[in-house]
Amino acid sequence: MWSYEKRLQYPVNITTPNAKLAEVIISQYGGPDGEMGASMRYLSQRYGVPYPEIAAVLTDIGTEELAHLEMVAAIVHQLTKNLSMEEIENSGFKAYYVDHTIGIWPQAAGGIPFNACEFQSKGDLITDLFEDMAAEQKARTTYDNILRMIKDPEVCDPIRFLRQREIVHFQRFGEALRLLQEKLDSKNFYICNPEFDSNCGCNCK
Amino acid sequence: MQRPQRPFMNDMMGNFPIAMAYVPMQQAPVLYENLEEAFNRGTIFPELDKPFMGRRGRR
Amino acid sequence: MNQNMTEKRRMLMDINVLDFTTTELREYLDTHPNDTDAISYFHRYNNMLHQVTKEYTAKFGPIRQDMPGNCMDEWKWATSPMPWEGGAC
Repeated sequence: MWSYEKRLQYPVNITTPNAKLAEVIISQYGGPDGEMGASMRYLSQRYGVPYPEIAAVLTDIGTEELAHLEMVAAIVHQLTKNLSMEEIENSGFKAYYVDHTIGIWPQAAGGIPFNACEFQSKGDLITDLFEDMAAEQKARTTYDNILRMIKDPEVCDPIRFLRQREIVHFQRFGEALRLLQEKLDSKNFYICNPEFDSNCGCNCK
Repeated sequence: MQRPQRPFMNDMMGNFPIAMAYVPMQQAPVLYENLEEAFNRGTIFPELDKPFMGRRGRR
Repeated sequence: MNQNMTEKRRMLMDINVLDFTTTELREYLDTHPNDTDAISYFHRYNNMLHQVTKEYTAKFGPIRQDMPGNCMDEWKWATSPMPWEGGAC
């Protein structure tokens, strides 16, 4: 189960509103490669996993992604909370404003609402770990794209932190895959699904 | 950090059949001495610290 | 007042840094469960984190649900600002 700590993992203190940045950064809240997808993906994938160390990786990284989700929301909130009506009307943010004012709602920058099609939980550990490594790279690329657009160090700072976390998480999912490979038959890793087939893995249930 | 004992973790001796991908295990990692600097950079492990420097420029 | 703000900021930075260090070590240990050096680093920093969090809570109010503090006349967990509105950030 989960506890909440009334603190952001990394500080967000943005003093200058910016509608254009808010419009793109919201993609890391509810977009296809964003933190909501990341946390739901990893936390959902845990349930059939027969190896506790791999379930631990999914749990701990999935939990950290919830903290990142909170940071992204804080960034968008601080970028928009002091926008004037003219700034809103003269930016691409006006479409979002009409439906949500300056509330936080999970969508991609292009407007597609967050949905479970943006992640997979395939129920096959090899497949799910590759999904997770790909997800971390997609998130990193999204942050790279955002960083090219930012000149304000108050915004750069937390975004750079979030991007670096994706690289570390990629490494951990890669290591989880190595742990799994050790438990499977290296002559044929695909002979069975360790989450479903009873004749699978060295230490299967 | 202690060097891990399990032989599979020594990637120099590893056996890597095709039709699979492999990420090297982080081994005997060093930590940043200044943990506050590490926090600001987003990792306590210098070997995982990979900043972005891309610029569009003229193409 | 400024002294208080500086002390609050300093303690919060310590909490941020120590919690981040233990998070990184936890994720490393999930895939390296036999690295005993990393386990002792984890315990060292986790104990320091616990200590600083207790001190911060006593002076400035709660940030953890399991450490509500000793204040008996106000439920500060609810009345203190959220972290994106000038709270623990």
